[in-house]
Formats: sequence, structure tokens, C-alpha cells
Amino acid sequence: MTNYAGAPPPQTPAVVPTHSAEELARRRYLEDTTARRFRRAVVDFIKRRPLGTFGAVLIIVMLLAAAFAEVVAPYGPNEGEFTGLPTAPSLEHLLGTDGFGRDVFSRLIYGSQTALLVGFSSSLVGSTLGLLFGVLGAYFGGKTDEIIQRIMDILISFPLIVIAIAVVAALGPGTLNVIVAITLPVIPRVARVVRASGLAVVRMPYIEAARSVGVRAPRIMFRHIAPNVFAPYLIMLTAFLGQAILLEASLSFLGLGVVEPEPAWGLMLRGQGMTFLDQAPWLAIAPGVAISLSVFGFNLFGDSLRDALDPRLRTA
Amino acid sequence: MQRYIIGRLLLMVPTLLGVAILTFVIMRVVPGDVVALRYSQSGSVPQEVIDRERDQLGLNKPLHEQFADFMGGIVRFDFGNSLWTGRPVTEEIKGRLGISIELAILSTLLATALALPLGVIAAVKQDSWIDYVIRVFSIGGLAMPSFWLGILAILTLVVLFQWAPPLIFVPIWDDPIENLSQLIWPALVVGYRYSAVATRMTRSSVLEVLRDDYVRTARAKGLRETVVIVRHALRNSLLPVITVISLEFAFLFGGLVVTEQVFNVNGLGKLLVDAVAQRDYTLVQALVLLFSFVFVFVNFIVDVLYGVLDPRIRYG
Repeated sequence: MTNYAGAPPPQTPAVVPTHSAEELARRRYLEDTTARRFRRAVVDFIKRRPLGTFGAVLIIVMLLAAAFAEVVAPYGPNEGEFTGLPTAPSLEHLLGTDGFGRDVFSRLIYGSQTALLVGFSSSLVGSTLGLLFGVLGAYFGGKTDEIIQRIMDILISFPLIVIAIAVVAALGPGTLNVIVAITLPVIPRVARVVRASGLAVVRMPYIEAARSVGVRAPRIMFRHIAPNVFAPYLIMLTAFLGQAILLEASLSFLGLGVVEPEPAWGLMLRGQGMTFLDQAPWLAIAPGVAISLSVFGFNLFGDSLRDALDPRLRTA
Repeated sequence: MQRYIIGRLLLMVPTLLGVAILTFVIMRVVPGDVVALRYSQSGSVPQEVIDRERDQLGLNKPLHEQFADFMGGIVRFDFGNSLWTGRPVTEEIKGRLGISIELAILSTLLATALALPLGVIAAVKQDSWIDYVIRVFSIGGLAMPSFWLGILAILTLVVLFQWAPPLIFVPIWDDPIENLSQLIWPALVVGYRYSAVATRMTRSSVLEVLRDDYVRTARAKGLRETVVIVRHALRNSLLPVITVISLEFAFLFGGLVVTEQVFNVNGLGKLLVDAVAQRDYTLVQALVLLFSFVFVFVNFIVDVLYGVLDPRIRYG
């Protein structure tokens, strides 16, 4: 049947195609820009994961407190007159003052800067190095993989506290060295998980295709493998954020971390908190609550992120 | 299977060797030695005295000789004498071993007793308020620093029962009830904290299994829900849970440094911290090697257990 100009219109009016819900979702997905897709993912996350959203809120509060510490905190972190004895919470000092007359609430606010700095930098550097070693091992396999794995084994079975003490003893205490001490144990743990996922990716046909058209190894690793193991990387990263904050607090509590007069939560617990445990328990309770809430936030968020990104990935 | 076991056992050797070398190097890189530290408080000590003592302890020997001594000792299971106390290292460790093992076992038992039922309930009631409460409870355990939880526990116990951490621990063989009443509190704190990981693992693992065909079959043939859950779902999801719990046990064995500090428990963790602080090379080397050995060995046992518990897993 030929169609020519001036032909009578077809008898049935043009039917508006009705698509299944999946087809509509597929079309919407194709039309979407990255920004819109991101926004939808966020809305979806908020709707479906109330716990994760609560965690995100805690994180945002903490980020804001750290960013605007000067505005939020009523006093400076080291401001105050030496009194020798702590004072109880009052309207003037919401959480009282410590033995040096410093406002505890203000020190908590400033402490979030230390916690976030240590948490972010050590988990970011550690996870990224872990990603690097994991991808290297998965891609090259054989001897390279074997050697990398053995080194990771050694690092994993090495007690963290020895690493921390050694770093502190060799480099001296201080924020930067705490970051080094916490970064080291993160590396092998991320490397293991990334390697496991990477091994599956390496067997994919597109890797073989890339190799056969002569793409060089570094490009394959970073452009083809790394993006495909990004989900486990991101999951480990958020998981270790909370752990890093916790570790920093523990090291500072042991006297191996951040040093006075820097405001750090673990340090507040160690020094003033332990000294005045009987007379002024709030000095010990307040920083503990701050540590717990922030780690809680990161863990809740990381957990839900894991569920959202990859429910089958088993990282406890 | 036999070949696999032998292969795995042999693989432990390079890992442990690496740990030994790393410990040796790290301890020598860290500034200060045991003699300098011993006399650091006592004003001016003639150089000859210091030199003589270093000679006696073998610290003036060239590094490669010291290392050869160390390696030769390991082969003969002779770890030398503690540089600080002069007593044999094995004696020093033996005195603390019991309490550390007991605390680790007690905590692991409590953690398991908490984790299995909670994890199963959370999985069965997925996304209900019960699930949320259990998840918040377990993530909360991960978020609270164990030393802080310990401090809170002590504060509460002091107020309620006038109980304070004892100065001397009663060995379990002398008076089991007294011993348990002393160790139960640190074990509860540690057990709660480490139940979190196992709870989450149980939950996700049971969730995965619940979707399997044989669970539907079990339900279809009219089995009671409890039987379906306990016999079919839980049994088949135990493998990853066992892994997590065993690894935690390996960690708890030497990793309770901070908790031991808070509860005044004279365990291996405290011994290690003191040994590093005193630059007691021989003791540190032996302890780190011991911890790494336990860690690597438990890992090995878990891998072998996999094949026993799940006949589908075969080792070539």
C-alpha cells in the first residue's frame, strides 16, 4: 500500500501509545540529566530510608557546627580563667566549665572540627590507597596480586595500637600523626573488598575488549575498573568515617592522639573528664555523647547507603 | 583438602615473618630505648653505667645480630627476657594470658547471645519499627566508644551498688563467682559493642536466605514459621556470622587496650601498651607476634570450617 499526499486520514484516530510503568520509567531515565537523576535519588533515599536520613541530618548538623564554630560557640575554645575546679552547667555556660574555666559547650563545638578533619582525611586517604592496591591486585593478578595481598595481610594482622604508638613515638603526638596512624589500618581492609569486586570486573568482556584494542593498563584500571568498583569503595569510605572518628577519640583518650590545648572530644574525656569524674560527671558525659552521636550519624547513613547501593555486598 | 590446609599453614609463615620484621624495625626506629627511659627520671647517671647496661641487654650489638638473635629465639620458642623487668617474656605473658582469654571468651559469648536473636528478629520483621529499634540499638553500640560506655557503667555501678573496679583480680580457679562478678561488667560493655557487627551480619544474611526457594518450599509444605526460620533460614545463613564472630574473638584477644584501662584489668592489651612505652623490645616483639598469630590462625580455622559447614565449598 502506497501512501501519497492528500490521502484520506486513517479511519481510527491516532492512538496515544500507552506504556507500561517500566517503559515510562525507562524513558524518564533516558531523558534525565545527571542533576535531575541525583535529585530523584536523594528524594527516594529520604522517602525509603528514614534511619539513613536521620543519620544524614546528624552529619549535616555536625558539618554546620564545624564550619560556623566561631558563630555557634559562645566562647573561644581556650577562653577562660583558671579556676582549678569545674563549674556546673548554668545559663551562662550551658554545659558548665572545666577545671581551666573553659566553656565545655564551646569546646565541644570546636572539637567537631578536629573530629571531622581526622575522620575525613584518614578515611579518604586510606580508602583511596586501598582502592589503588585493590585494583592493582585484581588487574595484574599473579605475582603482583600475591605480593600485595601478603603485605595487606601483614598490615591487617598488625595490632592497630602498635601502629598508633609507633607513629606517635616516632613522629610525636599531634593531629597530623593521628591521621597517619588511622590511615594505615584502613588501607588493607578497603583493598580486600575492592579486590574481591575487582576480580569480577576484570573478567568482564568489556575489559577484554579494551585490552584487545590496545588500551594501556593504567587507563583500563582507572577508566574501566575503578568506576565499576566505586560502590564498595564508597561504602567502605562512609563506614570508616565513623570508625576513624572513634579511633581518634580512643587514641586521644589513651594520650596518643591530639594534644592539649587542642579541643578534641577524646582528649576532653581523658583529661578533665577522668579527673573530675566524681564531682563533675558532665565533663565526661558531654564529649562522649558528642562522639557517639557523630559516629552514630555516619554509621546510620553509611548503612543505608550500603543498602541503597548494593544490598548483597557483605561488609559488616 | 589436605593440600589446601598445608598450603594455608605454609602461607602463614611469610605473613608472620613480615609482622616480626616490621615490629623489629618499627621498635628500633622509635626514638629512645629501655635504658634511657629507665634513667630518664633519675637525674645524671654516668655514661659508663648506661653503656654497661646496654651491653648487658645486647642493645649495643649491630642490628643484624640483634635480628638474628630474635629469629633464632623464635625457632626455639625462646623469646628472651623482658628488657624492663628481666623476667622471661613467656612468664610475663603467661601471667596475663588467662584474664585476656577469659574476657575475650566471655565477651564473645555475650555478643553472640545478643546478636543471633536480635539479628533474626530484625530480618523477619524487616522495615517494621522492631527492625528499626534493633538497628538503632546495634548501631548505637558501634557508635559509643567502649571506654566511654565503660565510664558510664562504672559511674552507674558506683551510684547503684557502690561497686568500683577492683584493684586485684581473683583468678577463676580460686573463686569462680568472685571472678565472674568482676569480669562481667567489662565483658558486658565489650560484648554489647561487638554484638553490633554480628547482629547486622545476621540480619543481612538471614534476609538474603529468606528469599530463597527452599524457604518458600518449607513454608509451602506447612512447616511452622519458627521451624522455617530456625532450621532452614538461620542454619543456612550462619556462615558469614561465624566468620564475623571468630574474627572479633581474634581481635578481642589483644585489642581491649582501652577497656582494660578503664576497668583496671591487667590483660595483654595493657601489657602491650606498657611494653611499647618502656621500649621493652623483646616483650613487644613476642606480644605482637602472639596477637598476629592468633589473628592469622583464627582466619585459617574459619576458612577450613567453611568447607566443613558448607559441603558446596571445595578447596582444590
